[in-house]
Amino acid sequence: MSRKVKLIGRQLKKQVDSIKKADIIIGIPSYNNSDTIHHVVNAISAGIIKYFPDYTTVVVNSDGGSTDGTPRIVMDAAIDDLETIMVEHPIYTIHKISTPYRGVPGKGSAFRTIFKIANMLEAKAIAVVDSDLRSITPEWIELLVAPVLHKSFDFVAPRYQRHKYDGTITNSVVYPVTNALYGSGVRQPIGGEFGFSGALAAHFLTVGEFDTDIARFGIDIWMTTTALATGCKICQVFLGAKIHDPKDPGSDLSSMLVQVVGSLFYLMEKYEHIWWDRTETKRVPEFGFRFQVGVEPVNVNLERLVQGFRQGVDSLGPVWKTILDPRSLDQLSEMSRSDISQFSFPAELWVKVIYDFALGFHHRVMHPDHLVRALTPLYLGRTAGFINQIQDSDPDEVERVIEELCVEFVRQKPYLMSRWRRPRP
Amino acid sequence: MILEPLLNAAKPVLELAPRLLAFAAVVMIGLVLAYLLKKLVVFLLKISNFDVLCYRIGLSSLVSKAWYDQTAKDILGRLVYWLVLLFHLFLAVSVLHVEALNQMVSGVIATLPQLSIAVVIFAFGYFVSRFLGRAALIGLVNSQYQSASLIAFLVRGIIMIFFFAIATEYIGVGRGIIIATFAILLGGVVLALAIAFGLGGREIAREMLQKKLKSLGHRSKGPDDLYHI
Repeated sequence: MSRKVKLIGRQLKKQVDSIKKADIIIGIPSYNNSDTIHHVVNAISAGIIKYFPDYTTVVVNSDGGSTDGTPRIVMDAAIDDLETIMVEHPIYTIHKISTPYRGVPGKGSAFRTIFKIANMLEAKAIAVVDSDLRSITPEWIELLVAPVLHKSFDFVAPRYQRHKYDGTITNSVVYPVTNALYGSGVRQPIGGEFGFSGALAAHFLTVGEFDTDIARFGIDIWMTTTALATGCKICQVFLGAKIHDPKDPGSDLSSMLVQVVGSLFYLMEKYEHIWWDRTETKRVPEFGFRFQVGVEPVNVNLERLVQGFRQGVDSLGPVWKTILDPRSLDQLSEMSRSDISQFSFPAELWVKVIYDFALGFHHRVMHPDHLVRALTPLYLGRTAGFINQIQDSDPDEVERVIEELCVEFVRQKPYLMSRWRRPRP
Repeated sequence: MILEPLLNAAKPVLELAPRLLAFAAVVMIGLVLAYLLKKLVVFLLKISNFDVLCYRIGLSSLVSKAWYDQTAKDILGRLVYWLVLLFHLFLAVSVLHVEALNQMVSGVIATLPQLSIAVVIFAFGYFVSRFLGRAALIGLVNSQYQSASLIAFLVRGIIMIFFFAIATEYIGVGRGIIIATFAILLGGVVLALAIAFGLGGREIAREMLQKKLKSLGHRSKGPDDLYHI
């Protein structure tokens, strides 16, 4: 349980009380996003005006202490010419709140403030979007909110058209594992944009552990897994391309892995009673018009990825020995000697590695932070192997490769289960 | 006439006999008690999954390196055995009432608390060095530093030496010398690195600083554009 943090200050409470009630909340967590947030807020406003003109809406910007004027841009943002987007004036004013969040710095803490405000305003539907989006359109708001308001879904996950090399943590770990364990077909469990009901937001507020990695990058996987594990009515919506503001995406990869994969492993422990008996996969309904969209090219330094893997094999053997079995170590050693252009990381071995790390995490063979960070070179190797495998493939072929990986995770689930409840010798 | 000198010669031995018997009895009791307590400790540790805990905190790997066929609970059992036996040996020696022996035993007993604390300090230092060494190794490998293993080894070594110095300082072995040696060694290494970098790496340092100043305000270009999430 999180330690008690006063989420709502006096001034914020006054603002919220003055609004009294709202149907829709659109939450935007932010930190120094002055370049992009104006566009995001305008897209949200246009979406609300166009698709939900009869509903009371509040846009909540939960800010992490920006120093570039992000909150002021949020409050000042306005669509100059409604005619260009072919809408009329809304019946209800779109309220805007920009507030600093309290707690551990990170997206999860920002969301907690949004959940709290939604709870106070008794909102029926909430959507959250990233503040660095360049590809957000007004239609995203309709797609994230309408299934909750009009079709009684509890949780709406996003689905994007992404470059085949992007989202490797999702494609290699998070999607296949959640699919194998929880029987879900949620393709992008950590997409970043979500919709959910007011009731689910209230539940998140109650059960959230916001002193952990859930407060940081772990929030997305936590929300999706909680929705899957608690039997929520889930759908996914096609949003098109997701284009972020460019930043250093590869910086501190191991911290990202710790927060995402660490949270995934932690949730496996928490919801063991759910996935233990779950054997069937339920198709998740998908909404939104599917279309092909060009995505930005992605440069990849394959040599760096393979080098990172090789260095792991050379130096982390004593650490991996306490997690992986000798056959896996021998295979990894052999792989490190292969040429970069021929480098591959078989799906069967990758699945065993992930499950062994999950078992190592569960049985606390070492400090959890060390354990998940030690996965980094193996992840780099898997990414390199995956890129080599799909470099000439079209999107459908890439999806087929990922689905084959999912099948392998399901096939090896008995291996995980046979060792989960038995402590290591 | 012959009997009296013999009796005189035997007198000290005869006086000692009851004490020797008491000595033997105390030692026998000690042996039996030590054996029983050892069995009890091993049994209790077994049912509480102590070996699993030791595996998780890394004690098992230390034990397996030192004692191949023994587990941590076996080692603890042996420790209890020898402690109980040692206690009874000291007790038995005191029963003999031999002044010289009593003084020697008192001296040993007096140093035991300090020795125990020194062992605890050293053991703590071992775990700290293991934890930080592993953290350094994993962090450096993930940052793709070529000398990751060497630096991690040095981190472990320095921490071990540090705690060894504290432990020996505590028990008064080579008081001051160990600490001074450690300080001299560490200071020497730091000075050597400073000179090497300051003189030998002057140009490199200048280039690095210039690059850093240029890049301030510019987004640094990562090695690739992958969005991992």
